[in-house]
Amino acid sequence: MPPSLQVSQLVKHFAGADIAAVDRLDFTVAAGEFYALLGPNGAGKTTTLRMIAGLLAPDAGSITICGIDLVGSAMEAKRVVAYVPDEPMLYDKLTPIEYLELIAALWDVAPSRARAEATRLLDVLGLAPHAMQRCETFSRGMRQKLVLAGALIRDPKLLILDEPLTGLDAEAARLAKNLLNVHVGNGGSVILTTHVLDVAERMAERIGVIKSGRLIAEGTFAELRARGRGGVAATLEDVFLELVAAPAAA
Amino acid sequence: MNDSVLPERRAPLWWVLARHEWRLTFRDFGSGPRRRGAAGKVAKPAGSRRRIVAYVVIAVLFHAAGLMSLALPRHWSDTQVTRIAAVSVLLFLFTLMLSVAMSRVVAAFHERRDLDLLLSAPIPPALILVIRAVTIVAAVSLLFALFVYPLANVGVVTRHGWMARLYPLVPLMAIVSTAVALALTGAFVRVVGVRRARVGLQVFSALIGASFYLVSQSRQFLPDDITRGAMDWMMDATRDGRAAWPVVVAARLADGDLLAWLAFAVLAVALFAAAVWSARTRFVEVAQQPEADAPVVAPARAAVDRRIRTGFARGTFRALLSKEWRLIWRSPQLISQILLQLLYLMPLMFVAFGHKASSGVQWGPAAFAAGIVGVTGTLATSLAWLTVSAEDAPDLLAGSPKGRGTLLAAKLVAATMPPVVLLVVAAIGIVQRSASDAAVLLVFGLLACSSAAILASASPVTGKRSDFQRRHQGRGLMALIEGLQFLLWASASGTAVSGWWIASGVLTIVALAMPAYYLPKALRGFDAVER
Repeated sequence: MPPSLQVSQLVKHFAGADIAAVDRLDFTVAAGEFYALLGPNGAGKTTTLRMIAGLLAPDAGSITICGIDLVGSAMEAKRVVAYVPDEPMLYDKLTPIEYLELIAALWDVAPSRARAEATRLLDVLGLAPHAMQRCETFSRGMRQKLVLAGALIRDPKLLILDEPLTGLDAEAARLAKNLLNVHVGNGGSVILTTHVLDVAERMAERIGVIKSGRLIAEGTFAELRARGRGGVAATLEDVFLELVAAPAAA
Repeated sequence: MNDSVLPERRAPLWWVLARHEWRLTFRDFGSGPRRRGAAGKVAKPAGSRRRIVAYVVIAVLFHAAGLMSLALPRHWSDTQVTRIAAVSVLLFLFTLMLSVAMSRVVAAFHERRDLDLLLSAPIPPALILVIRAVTIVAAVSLLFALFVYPLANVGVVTRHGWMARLYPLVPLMAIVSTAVALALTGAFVRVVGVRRARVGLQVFSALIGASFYLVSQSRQFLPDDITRGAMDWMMDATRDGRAAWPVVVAARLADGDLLAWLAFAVLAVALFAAAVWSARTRFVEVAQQPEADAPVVAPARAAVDRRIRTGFARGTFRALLSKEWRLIWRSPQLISQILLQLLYLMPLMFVAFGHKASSGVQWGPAAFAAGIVGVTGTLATSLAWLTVSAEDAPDLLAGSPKGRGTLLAAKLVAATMPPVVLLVVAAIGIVQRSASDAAVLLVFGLLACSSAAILASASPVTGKRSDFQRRHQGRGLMALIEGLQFLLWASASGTAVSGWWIASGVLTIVALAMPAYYLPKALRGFDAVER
């Protein structure tokens, strides 16, 4: 089975910037794996995720999703991907059901499956009482939950999440985490960025740390911890801060 | 902490508030649409320095215009004409000022989200209200002073002393219009609730702003006997010894009657005080109310299930069409802005092509064709901007496995369908009288809609729906081209219906040149695959 995601020598420069936002980045996410991409602000995490989601064209390198070359077969690759941006983009004047209908139509989800999934997701995420209410009155947490429902209704093979827990209360965050675990349990893959390192520590099977667009460390939490000076008592936060504080390799 | 960096005396509270209000008010004026950057972020609006330069240029231009208009007063020696002019100026100023004051009230009390901050500070709410209301008066006064004072300045300098009366007129009218705006806001909030009141007030203020213009243009489309009757009534109402009271007040103000001015000033201040007093409790309530008017009642489970059962069977194209139409239909503010735009446009078309027939026909077929073609083209342009440029979730669509061509085609069909329906209805309306006129209407209307679609897809500048009214700022050439397009299509249809085929042909060729130039760019947009 091909890996869910293979990123190879990925480069992205923005006009007017002296340094590359993403610089020769290499990593792989296996099928059914939960991968966390961590890094300080401005490290290139969102740029990387937007390139993987097909929203931004890379300057160099390749992205392969489930064996499909994103650059050569963009439409096929997008079919198996769902991207949840850090800022939930919704249509204020649509209801959650109408929003999910639009997504199901865009991704050609079979009507019977879309109906069943919409019912399930609205129930699980606690949005059923608001299912016929326009999104303009929703809180940030509700919007985030709806965007997550929109991603999951497509049953993507690769779920890309940029800060998915921002704005969620404790209960909603736990619900979201459970949904992600179920998705991985069903054979789907997840790549997420988060500043809540506790989530990455407990949920991710492997963690990649990037700084200035380059991958500076990768491995399981235990492997990363072994590289640091903090010993077995070190948390991911300790390890992460130690890694990003070190001067970048030339 | 080093004491020397602190101001020696704390500024008075009212001054701090006034400065805050003024900053926000001034920065609201004339700021262009907020554009999304490459990463979907919203860019900063244009800087205030450019706005100041623009105001100075306008002031200079208006001084020049004022100088030229001073050739007129020789004819104003006739008392009756003076009275009509005074009433018209007062009415004109009042409708425009009221419209501006209402939009300022909506912005200051309903759109700015700073009331929570201010009301949580140890400041008396009444002081916040008074300062906010006074700032609105100042903002309205300054805006209109920009247009009216150049005339007064030139008048005073060239020894037309009576024109100095315009100086106090502007602030007094601003006080009255702000008072009326505050009272109307209160009435709206009480009747329809906070959120609906905001939209209602915006629509109402736009209608008031348009009212004087529409009344002034009514001669173009109303039957002759009605316009003649209105003129007779006006002449009668302003005749010596019989003048109606608003006319008397306006005339006395125009004559410089000190008592009339004093009464007007007292009345204005009293009205303002009463409006502020009646708003004192409501304004705190408005700030405390959430966006929704009433707690939302969760729908019955069966209703949700039924809705899910009946949905989810549409293809991509139909789903996109539904989405675009829902987003437009559910924005009463957008609909009202579009309708107002059309309302402003219609009389222009009638002015250009209106040949009133003596046989009782209210407007000529040429004017009708030009009006409908102009309106459908403009409607298509507005809707195309909303569907193509003001997409709320561009990342969602760009990340979907559908080509840009499919998405763009659905958006353009959504934008052009309503004007095409309007066109077909209009054509059916005239087909019995003249099948050829109906055919001309359809052909030129469809060409105008197609041009709108091509121009929209050739230059899709991203923006936000709330920037609809400011969408032309920063894209001068394209806005000019769009405007010119519909004038050309309207003229081509009007001349065709009049039987001036050569003129129509020339206009059609000129009108076709622009979409033909932009078509390759639009098609490239269709073919492009988002990566």
